Amino acid sequence: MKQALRIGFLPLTDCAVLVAALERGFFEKHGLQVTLHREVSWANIRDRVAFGELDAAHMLAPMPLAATLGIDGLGIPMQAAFSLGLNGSAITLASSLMQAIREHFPQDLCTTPMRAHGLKRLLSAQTSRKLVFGCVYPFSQHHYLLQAWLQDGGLVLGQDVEIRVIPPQQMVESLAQGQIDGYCAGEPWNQQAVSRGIGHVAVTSYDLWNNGPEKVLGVTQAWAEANPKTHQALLCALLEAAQWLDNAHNRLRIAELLARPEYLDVPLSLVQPPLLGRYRYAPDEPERLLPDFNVFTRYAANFPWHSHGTYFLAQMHATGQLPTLPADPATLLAKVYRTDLYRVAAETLSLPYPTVDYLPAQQCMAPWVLRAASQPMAMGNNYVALQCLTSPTHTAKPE
Amino acid sequence: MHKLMLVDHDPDRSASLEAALLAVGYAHIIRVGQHDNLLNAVRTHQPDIILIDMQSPDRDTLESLRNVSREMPKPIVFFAAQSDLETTRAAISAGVSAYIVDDLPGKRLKSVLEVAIARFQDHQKLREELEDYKGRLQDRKDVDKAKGILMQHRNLSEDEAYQLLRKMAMDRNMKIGEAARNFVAAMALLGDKP
Repeated sequence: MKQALRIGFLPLTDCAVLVAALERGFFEKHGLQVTLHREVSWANIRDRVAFGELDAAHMLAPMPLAATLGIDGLGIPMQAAFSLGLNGSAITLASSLMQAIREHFPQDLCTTPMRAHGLKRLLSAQTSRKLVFGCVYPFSQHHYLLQAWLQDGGLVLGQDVEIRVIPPQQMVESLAQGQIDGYCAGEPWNQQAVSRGIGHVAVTSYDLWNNGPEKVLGVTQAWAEANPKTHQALLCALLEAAQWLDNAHNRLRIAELLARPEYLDVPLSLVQPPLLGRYRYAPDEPERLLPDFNVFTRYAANFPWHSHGTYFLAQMHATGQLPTLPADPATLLAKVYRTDLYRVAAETLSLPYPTVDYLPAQQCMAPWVLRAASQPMAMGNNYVALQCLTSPTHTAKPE
Repeated sequence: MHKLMLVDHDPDRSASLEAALLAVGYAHIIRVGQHDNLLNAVRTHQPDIILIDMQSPDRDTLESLRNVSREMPKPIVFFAAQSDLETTRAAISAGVSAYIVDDLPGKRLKSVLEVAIARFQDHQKLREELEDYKGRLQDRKDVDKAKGILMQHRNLSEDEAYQLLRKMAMDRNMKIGEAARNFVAAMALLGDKP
């Protein structure tokens, strides 16, 4: 069994499970010697994993699917058997934009989650203006949420707004320099803009989709086939680390670890509050309570749902990333999102796991119980606020 | 002749790569540094090949251009589509990544890449040598300090002090610089400022 592993991550709060597994000795417990490698871009993560320089990595949930479909990078097939958590990102607007909406169109701030109609009205008042938004990577939940939110407010991509890819750690600086009007990214990069007074959070990813997909642990299919035992040990270590993170007391400890120079290298005050369920939307507002802003294991958060994969396929198609939908999506998703491997690891640790691959599609606005599981599992809300997320309309321009 | 763009935050490396490419016959080279606006540069110059340092976060931005063909008349393709996987692996391991337009012959690209890989590796070696040199310089300073303390406290000659230090290091299976640093730190704790 391969024991020495190199795992890549990007400096974001949701690399927490990896950091916890290393710092709390869960990797060691399962016989693995892991080194974590901080990367600067998602493209680096993808290529270093593809060529075996990294054994595994923190990836955006749609990345293994995009790689396997051959629409991202070199098309070296990848897979994920573990989701690193739910929620955890947000859409931030430049403070000046939010002030203008507050002043001129206060009626658009009457509902929560905030909708983008105020932005559209601002644009109609200044005809020459085009908004520029940053998003972290084309194949990301951030990109799909941002497009859906803008589209819901009546903004037309290309005409009213341009979406530009910028790595998460550069978002705040781009906003400060006025290169972008807003962005969708993970923490701590929204809280940093708020604490500097230059940004207001419009909506969090939780607001738009209660307990939606976010990041996964990605490996190549070749690696998974060559190292089945190591893969299982890795999954077990991560499952235990995720359980450890569910304890409120341990959230304090992970916040301190994440703030360190070798991980996020930001002040503790930016990392800690969201992990404890306290989230600041605006510099001039008190914190709001969002206990599920970061979900690391409850609500079957680590399970790589095929229903999320189906949603990614629909989004890729709607945004023009995937010209034609695959003929047999079920077989494809089974190859990419390895629910079978997850179940083996959960069974080893005597943890409950879902016995179905597709999350029931009903809209739950209150906690519920998943009975299609090895033992009944407590689930959180799964309400999706935007209709265009559940039934996407084609936004891609003809080429 | 194909237009080449080099995106590198390290001006020395970028200059030496440019010189090497000029030497093998590439005349049209545009260098983009860390603080330049990459998107604008790509739109203005429309390069055929872009070589980018993997330590640059701009890679993600560059890759997204593939999906926005109405802004980029020339599609950008990650290079290995036309190069072999071994070259790609070598490039990634050297820390360089390349993007090309669709219709570039693979052979030409390979030659560009080989030059780039060699330059990136040279640079890496230089940096390692520099760090090694710095380390050795620091070792010498610390050994001198430790020797000074030993000479003063135990009335030893310089050579005797050095031999004692060397024995201390060998007994503890340490490098002499490390042993000297430990010794100086311990003496500082005991109130003896070197």
